[in-house]
Amino acid sequence: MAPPVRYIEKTQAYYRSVGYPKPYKYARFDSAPFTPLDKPLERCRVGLVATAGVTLLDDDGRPAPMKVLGGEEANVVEIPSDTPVERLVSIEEHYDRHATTVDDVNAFFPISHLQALAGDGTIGGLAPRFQKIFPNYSHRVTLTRDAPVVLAQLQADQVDAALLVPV
Amino acid sequence: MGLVARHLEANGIPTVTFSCARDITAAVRPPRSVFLDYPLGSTCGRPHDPANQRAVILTALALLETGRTAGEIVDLPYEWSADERWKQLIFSPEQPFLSEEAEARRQAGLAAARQAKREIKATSVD
Repeated sequence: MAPPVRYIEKTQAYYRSVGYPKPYKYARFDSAPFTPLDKPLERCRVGLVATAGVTLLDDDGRPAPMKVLGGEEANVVEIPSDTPVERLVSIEEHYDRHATTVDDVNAFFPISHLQALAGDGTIGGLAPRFQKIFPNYSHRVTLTRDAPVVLAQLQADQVDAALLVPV
Repeated sequence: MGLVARHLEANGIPTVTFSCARDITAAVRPPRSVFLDYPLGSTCGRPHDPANQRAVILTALALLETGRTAGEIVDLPYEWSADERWKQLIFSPEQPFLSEEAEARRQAGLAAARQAKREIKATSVD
């Protein structure tokens, strides 16, 4: 089995080759914060936070308009956790379109699986709303603007643990 | 996404982060991660393979419950394909990451963000 793709190296080389002078600086930390889960999963209310481009269809079956990277406006969108997967559609563009597909929402926003796991009691329940964040190039914007909004929503919903899914 | 995970965890909410980019995850160091060696976009399992997706999610949930080591990455055993040419082709000249259309939208977004920033600066000087 080939080793995992070295994305940091590859993206930096790629953007250098198309004329960007400054390499994107990936976040780097030597340690991680840690909060142990203090009760069994079957008593936990679980949240889902994703950066994947998933959007709700309106009553006419139209997807919400797409936002673009780098915007300054608030960037967290709520998706009710009881939404049937058929009402969600992918608008993702930042994926490996040559190797895979995003036509199965559950492969990057596992809402049906979480509904089933809550239904059969594997987990205690679901947060009433899941969150979709639009990725931002700025670590500062993500940390000071978007992350606190997600935290406030999870705290308000008394979420015990969260699954986080990047693209 | 790792930054958000760290923020939640630092404020008392346990998290588990899914990843298809092991090097980025290892650098950002979210509190707990499951690494799936699949193409970007299939972070929670193979499209149209609910059994595979469910196995990935159950591994993530198990890590949430049993994980005791900050920054731990669990490597999932699933292989995308026997032929691993997809890995070599990533970001290669014959396979630009974004379609021309998507790249144009991205550029327009960046330009709009830069413009907005300039306007904010101009106003704050006044």
